[in-house]
Amino acid sequence: MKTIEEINQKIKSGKVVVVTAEEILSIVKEKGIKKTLEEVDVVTTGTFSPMCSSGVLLNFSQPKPKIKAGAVYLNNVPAYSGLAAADIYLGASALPEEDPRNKVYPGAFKYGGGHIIEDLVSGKDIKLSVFAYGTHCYPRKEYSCLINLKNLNDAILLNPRNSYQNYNVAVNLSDKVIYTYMGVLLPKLGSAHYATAGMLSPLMNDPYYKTIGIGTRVFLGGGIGYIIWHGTQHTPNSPRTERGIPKGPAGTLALIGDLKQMSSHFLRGVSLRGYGVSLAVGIGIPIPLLNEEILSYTLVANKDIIMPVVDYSEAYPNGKDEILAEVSYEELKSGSTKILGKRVPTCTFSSYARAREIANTLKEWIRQGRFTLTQPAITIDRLNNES
Amino acid sequence: MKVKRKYLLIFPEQTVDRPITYHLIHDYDLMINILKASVTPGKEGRLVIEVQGEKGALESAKNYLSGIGVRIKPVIEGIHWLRERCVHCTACVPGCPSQCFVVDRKTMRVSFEKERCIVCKHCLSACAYGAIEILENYAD
Repeated sequence: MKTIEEINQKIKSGKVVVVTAEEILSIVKEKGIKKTLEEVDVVTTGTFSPMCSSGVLLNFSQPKPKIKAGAVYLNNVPAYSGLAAADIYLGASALPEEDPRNKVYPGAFKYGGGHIIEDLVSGKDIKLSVFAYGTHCYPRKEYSCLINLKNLNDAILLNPRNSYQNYNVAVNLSDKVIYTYMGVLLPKLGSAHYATAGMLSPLMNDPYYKTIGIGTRVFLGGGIGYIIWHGTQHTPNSPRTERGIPKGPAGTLALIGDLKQMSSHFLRGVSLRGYGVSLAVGIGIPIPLLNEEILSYTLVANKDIIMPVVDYSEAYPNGKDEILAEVSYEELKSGSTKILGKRVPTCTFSSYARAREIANTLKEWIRQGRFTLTQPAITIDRLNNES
Repeated sequence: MKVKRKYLLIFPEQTVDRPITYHLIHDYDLMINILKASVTPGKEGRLVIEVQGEKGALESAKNYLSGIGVRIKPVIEGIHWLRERCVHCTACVPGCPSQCFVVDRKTMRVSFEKERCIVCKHCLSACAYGAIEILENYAD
């Protein structure tokens, strides 16, 4: 048994031992569970993938005279303004009104909310246009200016659903190419598109959310963030394997963090052909090795992760719960897998290389004492039981 | 035999006011798609067109253009992989008919073998991260 306080003491004295979710396997293989638990304090995880349920909360400086924002655009992309006068929220999948969408099929979706977030975090100027009806206290009706990360009062990344625990593998059984958020799916089972960072994924290493909770400090977009709730569409009671790994999409997280600390290396606007725009987000969560049970969960390997194969030409759009096959993350990562007797090439929009980079970066932060662990106000498993 | 080609046409000053596209369509039965045009009065004009039609008619049209002083340069397209934009996700891999994108399965990093590329442009739609660009060069 170890406590988060004890681990933080070790971080402060420079004696902490941190390894990544990949490295822990060989250590346990060599030293066994008991010895490893004595020696290793923290396992770091990482993931990098498009996560559409992301966005930024911005507060701009009031002009003179003042304005109460009505219709708001950032580089012509509409933002939500149904908040106080100078608070606006820009969603990652917002599109400029003049974007032709899928009128010229398949749409290219070159620029939208996700790209603005990437531009902001890179320090670029963004054109803010505000329209209002005017009041006694906020008389101005039109305002436009250039905003950037430095002159915004607040720029907060606020993501309602990130870090999916497991996900579908998308295939196309029809005889035409289809354009989806999982990629350009080749016809007649021509390609299989998966997601997540497998054994590096944060929620795969704490599958029952026993250490992760509200207030957990995390790596978010290259800066520091916090878990604020479970994410939307969080379904912890999905079917699981014997070792507790969900067999399909299950847990999710809602995250928050200061955009001003983040980096465009870990926050990237994406253009999904024929679908829309989004934001790829880099997330890393430290798992404190509090006891044998927690350590044993972090020993998940890519071969233990089973993902459901779903037909995105028919079953998915029509909401049919049909699973064509189950394949392991290990196979998907190898470049091809067997589905319905056919050898199918595989690919993903998630970057395993960048997920690994995140797990290693977080490991270094903790080793250098730049990042300490937090005791969550309530873990997600308890939150699930409360509601 | 029908063919489809892309050309850059350079007009000397004295031909800028002639309705050349009209002649290409009317006299040679070619389908013309104007991709780029810049015509400055008193200077040379530049036009990038995609032409589709019978091979023989296309050759005659080129003779007509040369005859009136228009220079013709074939457009060579090339796929350019922007290493610094690539996040090594692998989305470009399965659809590429010539296996240009090679994944090191240990590091899970992608590299681009340019010499294999046949410019089918699949990767241009598969890549979500803006790491693929089409570059156009003009042969002399």
